[in-house]
Amino acid sequence: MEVTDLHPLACGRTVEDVWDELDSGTPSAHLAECPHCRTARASLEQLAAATADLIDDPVDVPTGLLDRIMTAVRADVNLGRTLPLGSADVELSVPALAAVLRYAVDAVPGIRARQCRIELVDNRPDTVRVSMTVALKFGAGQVTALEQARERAATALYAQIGYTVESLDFEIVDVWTDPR
Amino acid sequence: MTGGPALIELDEATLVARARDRDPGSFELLVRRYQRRIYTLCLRMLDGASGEAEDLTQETFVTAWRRLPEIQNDAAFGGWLYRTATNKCLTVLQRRRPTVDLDDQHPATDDDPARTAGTTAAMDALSQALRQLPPQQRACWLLREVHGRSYQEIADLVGTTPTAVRGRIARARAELAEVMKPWR
Repeated sequence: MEVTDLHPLACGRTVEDVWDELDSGTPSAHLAECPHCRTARASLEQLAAATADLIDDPVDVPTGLLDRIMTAVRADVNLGRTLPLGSADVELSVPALAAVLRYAVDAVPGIRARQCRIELVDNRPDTVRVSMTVALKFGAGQVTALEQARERAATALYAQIGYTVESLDFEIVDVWTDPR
Repeated sequence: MTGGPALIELDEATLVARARDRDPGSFELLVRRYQRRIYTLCLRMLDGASGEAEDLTQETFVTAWRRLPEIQNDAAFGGWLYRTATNKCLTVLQRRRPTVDLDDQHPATDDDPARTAGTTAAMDALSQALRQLPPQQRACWLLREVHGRSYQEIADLVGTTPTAVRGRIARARAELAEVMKPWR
């Protein structure tokens, strides 16, 4: 590599040789004796210490940055897909429907809703078919939990929007265990 | 919106999947998780120019929201943010006139927003030395040594091989170590 030509020490070795040796954890006798290598080593250790300071340096995020990002993001949501609401001339955003379903599913312990697909059944204005990916907590009783989630989601959608859930398919895409 | 007291504890893959499904609440948690890291990277890439760093950070996240449906791997979100932010910084640096002394353009020693009470002399020297590195080298060094990204990820990001990335970082490290000497 060209790098080795760029920073030769007077003893014929390079700064990178010294770094690699320090990195390996088994410094050679040469490194302990050679004044050039020891100088390079001191510089590298100084650099490592300054780098650690840089990593820990608490840079302040500008005030309002989060709000500005989220304002742009929320303005963008309004462009999401819509479905008709009942027979009235009102459109309902699909992301909003998905939020209702996810909220209901999340309420069941051991399940986390992820992505949610919603389709109208045969173009009827009030019946949907839903498929949702979920993460499931590892352990017993999860079939019951999924049944419960299916029931709650259907109830919530009917109660809040007036839609009937014809079917709700879960696809388990991840399993988690509680830490400790 | 999607909520509940447990939302804050959701794992990243779940948040990414929901954000892809156009759930702003989940995306906001991702922004909270990453904004400091991305802003810090932009700030150091752009020689402490805080206004530009803020603009690029905002652009990075808004682009992420729009392009999320294309990011199929839920675990790749962080890498995607680093890649987008770095590329935006490199583009800005390319546009800056190379003949202008960057230190004149962005006086950084006294009113550097990255500078805090805890700043050490060695850290000042390092920040100063970082500004002198070519942008690609600076990006490789920062991503690896400060942000802990993998050689493979950085290689994909700058369009080269992991071996070449190692070379660039080695070169940067030697340059920086040179500057650290007076602080020994």
